[in-house]
Amino acid sequence: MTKRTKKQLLIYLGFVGPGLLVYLFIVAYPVFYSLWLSFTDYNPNKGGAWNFVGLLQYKTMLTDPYFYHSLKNNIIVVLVSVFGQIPIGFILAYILYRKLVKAERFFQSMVFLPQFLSTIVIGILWKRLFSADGPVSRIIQLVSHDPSAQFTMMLSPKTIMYPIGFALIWMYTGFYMIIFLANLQKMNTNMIEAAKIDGASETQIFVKVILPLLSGAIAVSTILAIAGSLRGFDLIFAMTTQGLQRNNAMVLPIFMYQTAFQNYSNSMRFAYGSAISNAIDVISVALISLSNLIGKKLNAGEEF
Amino acid sequence: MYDFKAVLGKVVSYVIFISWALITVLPLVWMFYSSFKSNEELTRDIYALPHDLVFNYNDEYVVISPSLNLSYPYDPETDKRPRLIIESATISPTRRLMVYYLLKENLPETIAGLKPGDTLKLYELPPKIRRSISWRTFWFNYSSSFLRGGLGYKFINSLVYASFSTFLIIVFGTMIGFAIAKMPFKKISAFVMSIIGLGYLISINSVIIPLFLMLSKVHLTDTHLGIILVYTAFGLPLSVLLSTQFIRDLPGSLIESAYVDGASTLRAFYSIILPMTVPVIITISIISALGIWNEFLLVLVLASSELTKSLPVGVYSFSSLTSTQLGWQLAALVLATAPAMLVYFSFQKRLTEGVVGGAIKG
Amino acid sequence: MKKMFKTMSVLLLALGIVSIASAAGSKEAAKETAAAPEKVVVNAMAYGDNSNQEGVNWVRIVESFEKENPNIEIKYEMLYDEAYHQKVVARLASGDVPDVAYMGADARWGAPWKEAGQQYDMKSLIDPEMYNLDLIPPMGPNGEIYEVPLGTSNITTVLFTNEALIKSLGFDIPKTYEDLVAMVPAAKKAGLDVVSIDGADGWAWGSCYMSAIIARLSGDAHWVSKAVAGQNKFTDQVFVDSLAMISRMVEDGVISKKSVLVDYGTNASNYSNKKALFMVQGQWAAGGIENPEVAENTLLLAWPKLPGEKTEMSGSVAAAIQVGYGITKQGASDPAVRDAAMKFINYFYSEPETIQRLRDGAIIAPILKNYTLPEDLPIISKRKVELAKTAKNTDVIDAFLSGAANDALNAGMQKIASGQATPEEVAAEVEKLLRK
Repeated sequence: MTKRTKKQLLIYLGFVGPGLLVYLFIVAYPVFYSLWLSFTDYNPNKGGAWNFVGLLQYKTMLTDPYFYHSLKNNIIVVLVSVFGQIPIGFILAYILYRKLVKAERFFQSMVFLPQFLSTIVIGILWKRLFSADGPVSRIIQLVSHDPSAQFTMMLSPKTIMYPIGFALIWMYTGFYMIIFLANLQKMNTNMIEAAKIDGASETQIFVKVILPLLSGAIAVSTILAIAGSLRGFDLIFAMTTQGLQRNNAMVLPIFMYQTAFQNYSNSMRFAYGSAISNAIDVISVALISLSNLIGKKLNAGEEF
Repeated sequence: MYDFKAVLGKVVSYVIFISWALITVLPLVWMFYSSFKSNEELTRDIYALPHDLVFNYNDEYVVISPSLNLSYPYDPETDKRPRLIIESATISPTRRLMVYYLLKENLPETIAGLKPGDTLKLYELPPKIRRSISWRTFWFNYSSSFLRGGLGYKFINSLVYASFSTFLIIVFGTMIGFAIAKMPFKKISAFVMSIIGLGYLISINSVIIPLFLMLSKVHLTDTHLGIILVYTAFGLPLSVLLSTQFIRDLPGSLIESAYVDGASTLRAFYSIILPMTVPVIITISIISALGIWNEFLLVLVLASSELTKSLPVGVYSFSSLTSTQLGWQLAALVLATAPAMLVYFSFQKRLTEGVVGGAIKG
Repeated sequence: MKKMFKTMSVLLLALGIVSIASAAGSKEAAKETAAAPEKVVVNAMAYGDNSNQEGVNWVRIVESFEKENPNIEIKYEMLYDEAYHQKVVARLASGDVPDVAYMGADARWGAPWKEAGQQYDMKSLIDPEMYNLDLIPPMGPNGEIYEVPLGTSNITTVLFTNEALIKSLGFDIPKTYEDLVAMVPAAKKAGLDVVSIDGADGWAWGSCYMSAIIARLSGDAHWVSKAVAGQNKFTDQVFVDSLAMISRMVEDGVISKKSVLVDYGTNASNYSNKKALFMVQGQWAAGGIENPEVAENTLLLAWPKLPGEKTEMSGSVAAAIQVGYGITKQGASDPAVRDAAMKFINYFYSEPETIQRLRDGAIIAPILKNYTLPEDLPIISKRKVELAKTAKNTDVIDAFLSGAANDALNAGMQKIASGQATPEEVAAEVEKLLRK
């Protein structure tokens, strides 16, 4: 190595080094730490000795009914995001793009506003709105003329995901709307004009021209939606009270948090929690690959 | 023929957007005006307009004797001037939450001579004192959540986290981006890029347990530094990706001329590259700062003392521990949302573009 | 745009620097005082918050203690609620063990200290002249005392009774469960709840409700601890029957179905705004009744006679060992620190402070030997002392049952109340999780 390249290498390292070190120490290392932890019974509070316990934590997880319950809820959240937020966001963007409403800037900023508010604050607000004798219950009471009527959907595990799904759609749809709107506005209008001249109908233009052009944006949105939904913690955490309600609405990140940081009677809480969070990562990579695969298949079909 | 379908489409579009806007605005409006209601009012009627805190002219006050559970706004050791201590009998009575310490020298004799247990009406007090108490009654929920919830300090903490982390994310990110895009050592660069790219898949939530264990080992939990470092590290992937792409597209000749002279690489970076990357820096700052401003789990786990809590965690724990004071909670929610909404409505276009830019390019 | 960005970033940075500097400044100041020689420093973890009486009192007590004892410095970290528990775990994990901390002997308040081996038997330090040792229950297997309880046993199953409201509906203080049922139609008509409970909090069902019911129906004050030890089973008919009391009360309208949506604060403000005839909570909730008129009219009762209850347990209430400040093994390892810590604890429990706690409604009765009850004690506090003197004490469930089994029981009772599970199912799940 010449003196010059050596010097260049030093400069190069000087530029890359600081950031990379922070990154390696705080992002990369914990990934391996988490993996290692999940195969042990390590608890620093208990002397800090660690023993290799093999797949014990994963076995516990796979026999824990809460794991499947959280997984089910998490899948609901993913479905709400992918088949709720994205299509609705698309429709809203399309309405704005075709200028079907006036005051579009006002409406756009209203739908997008929740993005900028803290999820926790929004969660607490919705919890208040849905509480016993709270604002929503009062509306039901006024409409039904029954002074003891309540909004009971937050009670049962069968219905609790409806109000939560509603809040999720309200919160995040704006984000996808803006993405689609930006892509629509970027779109080359010549193709649409050409299709119109060819005598294509609105629906045909939409299906044959606009949708394919936006397939990239749809794919990106899907990945973001899946990754975001699996990690989502704040909104459900803030909307529910600790106990039955939160358990009913439990998703994997909350399950992980409660296991590791609230269940003081489990001496393997950190190791077990790590196993859960590793599972979240595996599921999220699997779902993203699956959606990529499906996306490719669909695109391949359109080639004909 | 008038196009029936088009009209229908318009109507449906308006219905969707108007109801969406209402669902967004109405809860916020309710939250805002309810934050000026007393606890009792909120239990009595959840929709009524504020009354008790606003129309307080006739409020009754009870004279109380000094006791251990009063927190004096002056030092009773040094300041021995005689005072009349009164507590509201209307708002949170007997809880020692709304107590005033009136200097007897400012009071007419009839009032100064009152004994513990006696009552008086607010309008009986001298106008100056009356106005001040009236005003403080009006802002009772806000001052309580601000002072007792320590929300002011937490607001500053959130600012510190967002600004310092974003600053570091940009410095480190553009430095790495510059090195990868414009320096030799392509193989190392590809390697660095792939490692950092993988970070895109990892969120704070998924490694929160090891982070907590590691940082408590080195005593960085519950410190500003620990939290800023974590935010910085997790903001890097996006920052590196965006700035590499951007710097790669900058005209190479410009940089090479400066880069030939190795000693001034840093200066070239500072004076030529950085100013040109401002658009992408803005995008990165918006996404990073917004994410950090609203982040919850990391601070919930790492920060336990009042000194390090951020605004979301502060509001959350305040709402759980003062759950009997609904009015304070609503005021805290308003205090937490108002600044964000202000920023949003002033820089709306820029912010929207920033978020979209990050999402699409990323 | 460049300009806006520049000004914004400069502004943000400046703000950040100012606030960090001020934070560092306050820490620096704290260090300087610590630097004075031959000062004994006691590291403490305090329980409280700027917004509550506990926190305000702690700060005041430390200040005046340090003024009287210039050679002792109490260096404390004050936290409240979940944050406190989390910080305990974090500090124990990193080996940064405090000398004095707020702790208890049960699964929630004692477990981390026990796990870390930091419990220390304070028996030899407790002055029998100052404290009434009969009122401090044993906390360890050999009668160890790990902390000085703030007060006497903490009654968790109080039936707060709004006497005036009941009389106004034309009823008397209920003697039996049937009396409660008889009030339902009149209360409904007036738009009131009969018994209000904060059913959204799982722990309220276990601590404030079921702990009383199981003792009544089984006739055994220690049924729960025996069950955890394996002498009884949670699937025993008597426990299933106790759980079935929940669905019976909901069906009878004594407890409203919406209870499971009501949280702690709403419960208290419903009761204090005369929206319910009774409220189920622990004794500490007496301090949270905001309306002085309601507080004055409130009787603190045990549950009336329940159908199927054993006579030997009638009128009983569940009570647990109060939490309080204790010295850790770490704190006891240095005699100077240990003695300073005990001196502070004695100061903290001194008569005027204890009486103030009584006044604030934080405790039931002092554990001190000599004290005089003030004449002007709020009537509700006097009634509390009365209840503590007369009622027989029984086990509080979560003092013995912990972890997954306890969570399942609490959630299970919420399910029963909202008609999502049967008593048998819940009993079976608790038993299964406990014996695992």
